[in-house]
Amino acid sequence: MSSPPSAAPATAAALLDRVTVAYGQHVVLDDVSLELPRGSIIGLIGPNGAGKTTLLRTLLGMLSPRSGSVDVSVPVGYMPQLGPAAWDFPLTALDVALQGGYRRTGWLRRPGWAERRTAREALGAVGLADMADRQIGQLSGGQRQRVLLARTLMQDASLLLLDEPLSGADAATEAAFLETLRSLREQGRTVVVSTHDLGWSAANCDLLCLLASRVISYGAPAQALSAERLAEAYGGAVLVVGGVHILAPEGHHSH
Amino acid sequence: MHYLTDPLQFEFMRRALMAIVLTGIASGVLGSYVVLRGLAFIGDALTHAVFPGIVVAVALGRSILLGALVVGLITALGIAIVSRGRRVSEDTAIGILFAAMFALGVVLVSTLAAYQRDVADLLFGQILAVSQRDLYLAAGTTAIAVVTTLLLNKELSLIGFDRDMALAMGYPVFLLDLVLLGLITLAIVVSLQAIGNILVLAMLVTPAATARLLTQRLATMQLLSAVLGVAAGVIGLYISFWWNVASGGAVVLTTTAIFFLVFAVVELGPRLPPRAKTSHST
Repeated sequence: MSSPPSAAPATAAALLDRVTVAYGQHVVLDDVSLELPRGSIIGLIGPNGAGKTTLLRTLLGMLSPRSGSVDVSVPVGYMPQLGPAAWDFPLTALDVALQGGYRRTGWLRRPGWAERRTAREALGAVGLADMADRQIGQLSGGQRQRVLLARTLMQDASLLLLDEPLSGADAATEAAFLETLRSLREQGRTVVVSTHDLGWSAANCDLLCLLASRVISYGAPAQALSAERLAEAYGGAVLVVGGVHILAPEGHHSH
Repeated sequence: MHYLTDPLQFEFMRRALMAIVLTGIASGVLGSYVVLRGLAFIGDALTHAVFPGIVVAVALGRSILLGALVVGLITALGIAIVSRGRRVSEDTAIGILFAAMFALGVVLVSTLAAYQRDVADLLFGQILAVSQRDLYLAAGTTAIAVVTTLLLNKELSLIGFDRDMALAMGYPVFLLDLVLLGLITLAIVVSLQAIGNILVLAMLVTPAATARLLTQRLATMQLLSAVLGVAAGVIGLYISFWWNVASGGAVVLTTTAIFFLVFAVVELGPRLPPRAKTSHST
């Protein structure tokens, strides 16, 4: 497994210092401190309700912490979960990819040819070059995920926050994601991926953050995913079979 | 040919045609967002909510467009603010506000005995009574509504498609929602005189719904929706002239007929390109 890229510029893409976020009485993030180094792929894992989405939204500035400080020093891009978008909207895959560049395009203006070319390239990078002019609702779930990834690429951000980008993804989508994430890392960008897939994140992330309101562990996958830490996060027994962690079923019913 | 040209001898008919064309354009363009974002109920609420504004305007001898505009924008603001909180669902907020506003209109009308004769005109439209001044006001309102919508199209469509992303990108989503409700109110106000309070909703929904059956592109949908609205308006107006029936009703029935015609062709006819009939994730 690769180690945290300490060779990269010493500054972090983002720093959270003792951040607490609550919805009313309900504390979702409790005293979270994290340093997100540049040029790394960081997996954000934890059970449902662990605060993964809340953490991403806090980094985006959509939520303000009750206490603690959030210091994001680079432009941030975002890929929301697949569910809520209105897929029957009369937009093409290209239109959706272009949305990522809207802030650059600015108010009252339409994306020009250069933007459109970049958007087509972004769709090409995720293997959807020939789908650019399809209405988004006609694409499969995996293809939609890739369109949203292309849109995130269009934001040209240095810190990319992907909220469960791979849930239910097919093999082609998973491969396209992995390739894209690696090339982003090579460009010195930081990618945070929230996921339920322990195996995928252990194999492909430089750093893992195991979250259950608090940070249970943060570091290289081997350390972050120790059986004790997993049990602590998921509140149940964890079986280790041939080096693979398996959550015992009762762990899922702890909520 | 004289069926088409005869009515144009009359000044009131030329003005009525202008009014219905403006109605078709304004409600066609804004109707696209009403349909895509499922705002039919809000649209209905806004049309009813402007009623007291119209009544007051009539009582004061001012333009009903002006009265409807002021009250409509206030109501749009009210809906946006009340539904922003979590205590009251949006549906409920709208239900409370629009019934109350309409009731206020009814109470006002009952106190103004002299104007009761005009109430039917307010509710069902009186396109043949459109004055030159009304026409200018409607033209200005249509221009503002359409130009603003087109200038904000990329932001409005982003919010409609993926609100979460719009928020993450730092867009003032609440403000833009409010602007959209304001623009819909403008379209309603333009349509009021021609179509009448009760039937305005049809012009906001039906041409856009028809256009949605025919295209997968937002800009094309907006254009088609406007063209269909104008066509239904002109055809309906001629029908109302020659058969001497209420213009608002004739226009709405025409646009409905066009919808079912297109629906039948698209649903039952040969399937050319694959249409979006996908699983909705909600």
